[in-house]
Amino acid sequence: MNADSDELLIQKYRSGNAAAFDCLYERYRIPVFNYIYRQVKQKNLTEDIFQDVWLRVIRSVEQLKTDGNFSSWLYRIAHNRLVDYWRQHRPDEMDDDGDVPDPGKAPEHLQFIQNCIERLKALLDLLKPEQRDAFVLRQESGLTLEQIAEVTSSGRETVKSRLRYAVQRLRAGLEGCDD
Amino acid sequence: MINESDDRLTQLYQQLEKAAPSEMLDARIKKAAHGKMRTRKQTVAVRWLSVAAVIVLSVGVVLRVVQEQPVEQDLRNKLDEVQTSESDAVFEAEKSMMDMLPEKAGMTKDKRPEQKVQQAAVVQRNKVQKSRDVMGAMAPEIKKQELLDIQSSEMKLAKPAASAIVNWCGQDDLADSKDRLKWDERLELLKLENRLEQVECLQTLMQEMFLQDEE
Repeated sequence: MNADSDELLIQKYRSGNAAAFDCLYERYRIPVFNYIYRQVKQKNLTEDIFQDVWLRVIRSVEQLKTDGNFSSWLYRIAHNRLVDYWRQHRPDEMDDDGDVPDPGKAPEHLQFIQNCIERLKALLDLLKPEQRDAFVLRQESGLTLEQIAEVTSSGRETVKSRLRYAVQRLRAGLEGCDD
Repeated sequence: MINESDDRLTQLYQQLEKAAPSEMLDARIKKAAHGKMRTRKQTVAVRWLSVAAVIVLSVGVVLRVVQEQPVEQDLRNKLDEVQTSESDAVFEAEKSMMDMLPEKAGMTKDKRPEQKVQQAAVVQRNKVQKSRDVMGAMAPEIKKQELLDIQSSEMKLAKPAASAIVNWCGQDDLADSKDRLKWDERLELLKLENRLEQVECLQTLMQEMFLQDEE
């Protein structure tokens, strides 16, 4: 069953095979959890959102089309739940794209972090929500630009732009750190 | 050139410590998923049970209807038998009473009353046959009360014929009279005297006599 595709596991689950759900859950639990965690940064809150996402999946799995892409659908639910969180807790961060990224070095306080991994973690927190969302989604899910566009209800070029700015800022901020 | 992907960034990102949900959270989510499956199976099972129950009940009703049809037919046949045997019994009783009369009273046999009794029994049989035909044309459901009513009315028809043998409703002088007017006058007189029992007796006798004559 571990080698079965997502769609086959869904069919089996719909037919009454609970173990198929377990297999699907094991496949996505870490990436989805980290997708949420990297943006919320609090474990308890992440667990709440994560549970909510999966309960919605369980409730709505009957409506998923048999030829639908489960991965995109799952991340779409997670993304929408995150947007709800941002609207409630960080409305000031919900602004438009369009800023030209600073091509310069990382903020001074981060230059003291020699370890690149630790610096990357800090730099992610400084990204705009939409850019961080696109970058983390790309890293965790492996979805294509088109699929990310579908998940975030954006255009392909918008997603591309967000990713580009995120990469640029992160790369610039990582200059001088030790790998 | 800046593009949307960077291998070094990806490599560094993959080295970040991975967070994971707690075991309790995993168990809660799996339990919710399994519970939904159980509910779905129960719903399907209940649905099939309902269908099976409807089928069983329907079959039971149909069988019951089929079983009751022969019973109704039996009831009709028995009713016919009862009516026929009743009329036969009345005729036999009247005949035997007629046979007894000359011996007891020393009277000569008056054939007219015997003839009248026979004619009355024939009339009665015709009526029984008519009622049988009516019963046959009736709707499948025959009520018990209707059966009793029919039986009692048949008995009433038999009574006057028997009483006519014993006396001419107390009007013996009319025994040899075929004059309808005379009979009507006597009937009116009895009504004026308020002798209701004899009025009824005479009316029934007149129906039989003059109806038979008309035939």
